[in-house]
Amino acid sequence: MNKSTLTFLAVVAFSFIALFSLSVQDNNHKLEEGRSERIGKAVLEELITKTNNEHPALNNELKGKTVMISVWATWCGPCREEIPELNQLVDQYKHRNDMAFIALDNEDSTRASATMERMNLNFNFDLYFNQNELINLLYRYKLPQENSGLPLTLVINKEGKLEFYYMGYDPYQLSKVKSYLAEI
Amino acid sequence: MKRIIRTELLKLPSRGNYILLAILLLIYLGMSYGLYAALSSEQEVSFFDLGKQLLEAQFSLAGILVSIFLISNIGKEFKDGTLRKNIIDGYSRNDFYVGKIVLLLGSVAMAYLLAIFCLFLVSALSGQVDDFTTNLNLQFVLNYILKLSYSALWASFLIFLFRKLTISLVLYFVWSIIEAVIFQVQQGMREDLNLPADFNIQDYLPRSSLSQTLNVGTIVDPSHLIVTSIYVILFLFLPYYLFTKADIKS
Repeated sequence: MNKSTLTFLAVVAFSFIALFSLSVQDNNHKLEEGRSERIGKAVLEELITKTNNEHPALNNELKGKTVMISVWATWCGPCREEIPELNQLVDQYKHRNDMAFIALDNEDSTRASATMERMNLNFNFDLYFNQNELINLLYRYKLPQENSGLPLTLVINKEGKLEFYYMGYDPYQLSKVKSYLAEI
Repeated sequence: MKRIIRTELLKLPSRGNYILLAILLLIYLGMSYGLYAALSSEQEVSFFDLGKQLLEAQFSLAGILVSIFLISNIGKEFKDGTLRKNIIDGYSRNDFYVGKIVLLLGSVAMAYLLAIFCLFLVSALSGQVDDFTTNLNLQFVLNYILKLSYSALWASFLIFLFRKLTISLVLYFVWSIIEAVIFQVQQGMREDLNLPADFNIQDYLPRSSLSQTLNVGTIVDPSHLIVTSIYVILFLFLPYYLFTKADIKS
């Protein structure tokens, strides 16, 4: 390869890599900024106000408690994969009155229950079905560039502020949630 | 360089290339009209969301067309033996390869600028130029050109690797399916192989690695960037070394 060809290809390759780096850096910066703004938001109060304190799961009774919410569906593979680990959390903390574990599903309760029975699924969170409206409210905290995904996990601290918000079955995030719950 | 560009330009006029260009323009204009109609309707629609969708659709199709163009352009050189003729005419192997990379960059730039121009035109016609300038941020601009360029690079890599137009075209279209199958096999064997939960073979495959690097929904790990960069270098440099004397003699 002669020198000018090598220089030309090197410049093209370098430009590509530089543009990729710039894109990744910009993306990561925006996401980190958006996510850090989201954490610490007083979401419990917001959700209670938006549902007029009439929701059986999210109401004033949760104030002062650490709340873990999982948005899931019976047809969602990653959600089912996560359930055994979530059940472990419930088993570990069921004696604690200052913690609540809530699972929201927008499926019809009869159909979802039948599927759970057929699949032999035991989910020990407090299960609520037909939750389309509340689930939509929870997805409003998603950043514009984030893709909607299931399961959606939220952890709200005792002050009613958001501690964790992530989508998908993410063992790393789940391990962080476990450490957080163990510390409080 | 001027001579290289002039030679490549001379090779461009052909019925196949005119058809590809016509399809590209039809797609761009058709989709732009769709966006204009949606923006002009009384429904409340966001220029940003719709514009993004338009660009995404335009660039997926443009990526395919640009790749077909490159595969057929380079493939024909092998098939018709024009590569040999070029060399006899005093064109070196370096000139030939640089010419094709210039062609790649030029076709990507044309497809990209035309798409942005169409979006600008729609924004101007629907009185939303402000939205166009506000929303055309760095990432918006960068990601699309990178996707388009990577797709073209992959196409040129395939044709230089296989030298046969049909094989390269088929492989270009089925490669994503092959990667999906590899991923499914990995998922199926995850437990048997005792793979870590965060291991995903797609991160290391040529086409899927790009999606991981340009995934705007997650914090991108630097390892994705490294993998994609390695592929870029490979796609650019390896074809040059794949040229052999046999190619010139053929």
